[in-house]
Amino acid sequence: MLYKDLAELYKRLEKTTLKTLKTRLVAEFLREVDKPDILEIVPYLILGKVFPDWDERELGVGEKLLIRAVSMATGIEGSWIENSVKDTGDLGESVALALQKRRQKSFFGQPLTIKRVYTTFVKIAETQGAGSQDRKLKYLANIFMDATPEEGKYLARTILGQMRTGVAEGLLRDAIAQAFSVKVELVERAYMLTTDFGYVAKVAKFEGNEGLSKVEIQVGKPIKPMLAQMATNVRDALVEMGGEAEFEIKYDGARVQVHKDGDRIIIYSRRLENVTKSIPEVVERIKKHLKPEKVIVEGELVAIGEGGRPRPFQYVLRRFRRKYNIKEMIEKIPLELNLFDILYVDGENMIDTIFIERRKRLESVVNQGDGVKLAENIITKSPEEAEAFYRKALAMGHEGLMAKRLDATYEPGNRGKKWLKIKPTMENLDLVIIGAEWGEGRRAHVLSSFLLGAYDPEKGDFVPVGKVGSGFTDEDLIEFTKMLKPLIREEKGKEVKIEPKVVIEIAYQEIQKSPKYESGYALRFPRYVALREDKSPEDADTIERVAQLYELQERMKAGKG
Amino acid sequence: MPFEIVFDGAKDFADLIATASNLIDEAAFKVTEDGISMRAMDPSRVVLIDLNLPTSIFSKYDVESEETIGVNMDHFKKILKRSKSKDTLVLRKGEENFLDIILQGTATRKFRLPLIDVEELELELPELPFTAKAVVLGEVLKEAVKDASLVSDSLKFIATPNELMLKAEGETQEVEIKLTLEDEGLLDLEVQEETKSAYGISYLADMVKGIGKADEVIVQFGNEMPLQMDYPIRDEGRLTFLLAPRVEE
Repeated sequence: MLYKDLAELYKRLEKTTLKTLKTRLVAEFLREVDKPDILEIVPYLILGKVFPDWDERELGVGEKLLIRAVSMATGIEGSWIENSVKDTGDLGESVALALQKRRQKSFFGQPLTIKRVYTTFVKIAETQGAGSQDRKLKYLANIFMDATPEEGKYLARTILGQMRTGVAEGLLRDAIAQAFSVKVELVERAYMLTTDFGYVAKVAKFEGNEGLSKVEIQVGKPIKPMLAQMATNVRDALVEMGGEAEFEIKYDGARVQVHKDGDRIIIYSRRLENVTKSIPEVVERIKKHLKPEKVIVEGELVAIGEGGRPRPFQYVLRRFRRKYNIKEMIEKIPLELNLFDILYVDGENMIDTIFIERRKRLESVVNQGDGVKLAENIITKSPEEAEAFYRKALAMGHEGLMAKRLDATYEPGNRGKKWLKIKPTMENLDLVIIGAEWGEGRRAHVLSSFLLGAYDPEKGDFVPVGKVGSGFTDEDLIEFTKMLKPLIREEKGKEVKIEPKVVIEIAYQEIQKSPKYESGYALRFPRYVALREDKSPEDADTIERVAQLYELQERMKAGKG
Repeated sequence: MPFEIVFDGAKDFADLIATASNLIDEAAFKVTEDGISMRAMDPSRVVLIDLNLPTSIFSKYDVESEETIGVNMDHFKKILKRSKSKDTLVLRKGEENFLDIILQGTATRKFRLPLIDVEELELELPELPFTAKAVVLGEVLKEAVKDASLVSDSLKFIATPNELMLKAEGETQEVEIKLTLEDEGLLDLEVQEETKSAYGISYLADMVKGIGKADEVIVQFGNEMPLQMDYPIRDEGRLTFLLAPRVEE
């Protein structure tokens, strides 16, 4: 299959904002793919990715290297390509221009196939060590040599992770169902269990509904985590749970999913990114303290400070980000793993088992000690007891409590009412920066006010809910300016539009109804709290969540909370 | 034993492999009863390399059966780099998938290089209607490429019946290198018509990096056509580069 066809799809997707049309275009394309090995990779390419997020491999190609490769392949100087971005506003367009003006000839050119593009990407991702930049350069030049201007534009965007075709997970799921005439719920289920659209598309095409309904958890492939809604207080939660519930400490850490297959351990972050290499000491402890040969468990990884008190979750993220001198970090930021769920054990799928049974099973497979523990919990009918436990959790420096229905199965990817979280304040929102303004005076060269967007999963887009300018230090603003500059899409006077990539945590006094934004809501006195590198834009809080919080707040105001 | 081949002056062989390895990561060498040959393209497919070493340039050439051996050029180069100019080089392969590289000098040093699978390039060297041919000293080309890279990323070759000019134009600076038959650096010049063509400097740099200053290099090109460079190896052997042109904007 030719890459040209894929480029054509990208172009058509870009031209329309209609979700139904986008879905149909993707479905039609998927139906045309006949080879299983191509069908496995195409869904990711359509999302503008090369590998699934949980795959350890990444291209490691930045703008500079990309420009050098295009320059090598075209004979157009790198500085020209760089300068032209000022006019085109997009490196992809500039690459297309350079390919149009191509001066360098080559021997025996061949049209690009999807397979060749993908194989080249794999080689680039696997190239490491001394001289790797040079080899990556040559691999890249090889494909750009044969790329048409349009192909080059989308190759560049894929390489830089800036596809902008508005295809999100939900749309892809619907398109797979449409393409192979299978049930959406079954596609969804298979995806939640494996987080692998390539695999799901293949099963859908070749095995249909029956194959999809048989898809099982696979050790090594992450499962979409079950999520919790917010409860106003402990009593409410207890009522919601039907009078009896498990309460466990909500640790201020980073949620992880641990896969153990013999000596092979993989640890996924909440975003389902593979963070195994950054925390080798945790890997070793898991080998010792998890008894089964094959098992998938979930827990909260907490950074431990003086006197055993928890440190903010950002410390754990610092551990995840670290690629070098890991040893030093093991001592600087010691970690503790608090396990709270089990999804699979030695050939047995646990997610359809009720929570109370899962917890018992978890307790039976963990040898506590050495920084591997079970999340502290109580099971109670008494609001007073739950209140006391809540106060204890807060006194220990944790975030609050989780309340879980005893008879709830594990629902991958679902944010339902079977799990509730209880925290003291109005919950902070994790929002995406979608625009900004250049500052004035002392802050003239930094972006200093940011337009915040909540995720709209229906449209795969972000809707504005407010602007934030406070809570940043001067250093923060310099950092954000650096981070956001390459993501600028459009500039108009002081205002810029920003590629939705960066998620930040925002505190606020209240949510107001407002005609100012199309979302209908606006945050009052928003304040920057933290950069959420652990979240991808699609993980940001949704507009629905904002609406829910608004309802919750109104209820509390009315004294019903 | 599939083959045993002896070459006197290991250093020359090392230079040859070093030159080719600037452009290609791996190569398939064909060892037949007529000699050793290799054809490959750089990953961007701008340079084609063709190597031809007839039996006559070797002091011993025993080939039992035709064989194609794939090697990692970087590893091959690094081993050969360990040779001294007076060393004798022995290339030997038995039934196993290894190439023995033996350097005989003050001692006998044997290296084992594992062979790899390399796709053979099945293509014919195109017959191109070149309109200009010059024989130039290696030193001239090496210096010209260095001069030109100060100002530009491409180098223009211009041939008129009495003169070969190499020219690089940057945004503000220019370099011109002129050669006539009066000059020591130009040994021969045959021009059918005025011929101009430009080529990427980075490729040229890789092509000339390994040649000796005193080597006589045959350069042929046509208007907006590829450039062919031939380096003779011990008279009858030949290393050829074919470089695709850059066209004017």
